[in-house]
Amino acid sequence: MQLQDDPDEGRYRAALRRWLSDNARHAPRLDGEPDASQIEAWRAWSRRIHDAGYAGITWPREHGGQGLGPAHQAIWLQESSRAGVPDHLGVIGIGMAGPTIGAWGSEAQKRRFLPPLLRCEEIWCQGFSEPDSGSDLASVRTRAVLDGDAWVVDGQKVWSSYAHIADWCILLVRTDRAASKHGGLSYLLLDMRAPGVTVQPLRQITGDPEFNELFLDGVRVPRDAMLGRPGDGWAVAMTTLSHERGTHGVGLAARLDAELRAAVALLTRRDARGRCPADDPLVRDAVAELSIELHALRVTNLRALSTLRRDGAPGPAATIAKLRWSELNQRLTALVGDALGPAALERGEAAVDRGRWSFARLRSRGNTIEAGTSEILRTIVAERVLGLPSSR
Amino acid sequence: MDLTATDEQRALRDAARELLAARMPPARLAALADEPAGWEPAIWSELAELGWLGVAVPDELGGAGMGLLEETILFEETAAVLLPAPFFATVALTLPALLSAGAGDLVADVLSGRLRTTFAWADADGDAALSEAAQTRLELSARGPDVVVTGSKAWVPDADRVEAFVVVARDDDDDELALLFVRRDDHGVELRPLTTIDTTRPLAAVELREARGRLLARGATARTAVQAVRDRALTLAAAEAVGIGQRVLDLACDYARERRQFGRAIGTYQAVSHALADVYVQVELSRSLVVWAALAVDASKPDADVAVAAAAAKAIPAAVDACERAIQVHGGIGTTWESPLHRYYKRALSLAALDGPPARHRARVADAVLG
Repeated sequence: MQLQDDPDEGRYRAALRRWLSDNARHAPRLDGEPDASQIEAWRAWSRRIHDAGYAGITWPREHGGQGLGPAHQAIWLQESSRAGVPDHLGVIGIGMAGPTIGAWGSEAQKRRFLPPLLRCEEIWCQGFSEPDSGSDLASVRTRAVLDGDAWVVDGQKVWSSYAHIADWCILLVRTDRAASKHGGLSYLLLDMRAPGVTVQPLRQITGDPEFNELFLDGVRVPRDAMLGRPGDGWAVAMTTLSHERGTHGVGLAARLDAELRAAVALLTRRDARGRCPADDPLVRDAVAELSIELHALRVTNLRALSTLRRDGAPGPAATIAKLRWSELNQRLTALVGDALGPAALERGEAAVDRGRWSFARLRSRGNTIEAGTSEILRTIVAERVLGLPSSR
Repeated sequence: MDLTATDEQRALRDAARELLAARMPPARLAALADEPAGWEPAIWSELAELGWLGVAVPDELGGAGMGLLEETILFEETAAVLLPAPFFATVALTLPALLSAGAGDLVADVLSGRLRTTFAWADADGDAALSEAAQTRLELSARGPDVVVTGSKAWVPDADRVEAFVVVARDDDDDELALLFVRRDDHGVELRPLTTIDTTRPLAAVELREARGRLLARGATARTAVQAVRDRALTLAAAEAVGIGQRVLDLACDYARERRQFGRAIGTYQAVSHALADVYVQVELSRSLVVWAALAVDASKPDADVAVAAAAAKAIPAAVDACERAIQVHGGIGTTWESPLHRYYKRALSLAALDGPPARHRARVADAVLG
């Protein structure tokens, strides 16, 4: 066992650090939900990432990727977080839609969709959850009925990040109401400009419209714009949701590590009387506990990554990554908020660190809900890792 | 970067599991732990023959030349069966001091199985934490290679299962820290065994009345040796905590699958299954910190003492918590003497008493993070 890079990893990291130090000035600065001009800057930054060969690191070369392993992906996630730059804007495309198209798509679909996705010429969003289908995803009711050469789609999706700027959507629909709950699902590739698609922003507790609602009213989707066959939807969706297991957690932990460093800088900043929050032994204890937990999470993620590389699957420890990250992020934002006192209530340019902490504290409540609630994740650990009997 | 176990490490774990399952099945452990003697000295020569005593001792000194990481594997496994033997006392607490002090002859005796040792660091009236060993007020009173020492040491683990002690003292002449090697059969040594809850790792007070000892190290060498003991023993205590946490989690999961109430296995109730999921998460996070600490110590990293503090601060309370939750999941039967859980709980509490409250370890981490 070793934590250090092997020689190849070390060279890759060194080259990436050089590239980041030369290019970080081009990255957009994102403190909250980006506006239209920030999105344009982010697109340009994403193309720069692509042109330098850092988009689709683990994708096969024939799909326009770099054909490298999860360890290289982890190095990108660690170093880009350390440099404080955002990742590629097309996170849903690169992390979810692209790999699913790569695994299930026809050659024509791969040629059509994968290159523009990596170049950030097309943005993807996800249409899985519905108002009545959250944790119970297989219960989706958005309906697609075959009419000649097209599926006619009616229904409503929710929690679609980037839908307001997206060109395409991976859409989970019910095509067979007579079939079983899981067996009646299919997976469509939806053109967001098709008639009948309406996107409505969903204002969050931060005040920002981070997510969207997606209304589908008689939308015609070409019959062949499907991944897999009718009825394969659940299996295709599982490919989407399982991709990047093992490396996703590395990215989350790396971002949290950067947050902790920013928090430490704030907590050790001395006021005019020479005092700082970190003078308080209870604050020190809480920071130490977070630091220990973050180290534990970081090494756990690297263990999962090593297992992924050796066995092709990340092993049981990978289930911890998101569960634990979300709770730690909430604890960190609460710690900073409590230490700041009334200043923690301020938003906007004049606020401490331009209001990032008040935003982060509110935003973090969603962490234990989005992408699998903590309750669902604990149930997954109990049933799939510990082998306890199903609660259902 | 690669954190998967090597073939050698996997073979070591498999061999340890196999031997310990054969030698220390739960019924045997329960019987031994309730007997006055409390252990079978015969197992010691077996451990010596298997090379378990010198896993991390360099080849040229007769060891296997592996590292602390490999030792953590053995301590996880021995803790999982609560092996009653002075394994922690000899290998975790004393060998690092003998190695650090360059006492090659004593190291050879330990590896051969002829010499079992323990570490006597705590003063009866001082801070009993292992990390505070260098604060001892016990004074030695003669100079040269042989010294005489009078005073007492408290909370000495496995004192009646060993042949000799490494005693932490200071020189009355110049106040320098010193390490002495004192044989238990010296006429100036008297043991006062304590009645404690963890009978698999008993504690005793050691009275020294002009006891004769060999000076192993003094000054900077002694301080380095005490630091080496602290780093290695705390990492191995954290490894034991992982072994305990994993074992009681397994017991609780078995029980939650079998025990039925209201017509269903209690593991179907999420109040039960989510509590066990939390234990699993804590055990895995602790395991990661043990790996980090062991790698850092093996590579003499500058952040090794922080990594060790982190492992101890997390893994040991997590083991206590795992035992408490496992008892809760077992319900009434979990609170009986018949259940094995109390023995694991007591060992976890014994580990928690080794080096003071976890807030002290966190304070060390806080200093590193916040300055």
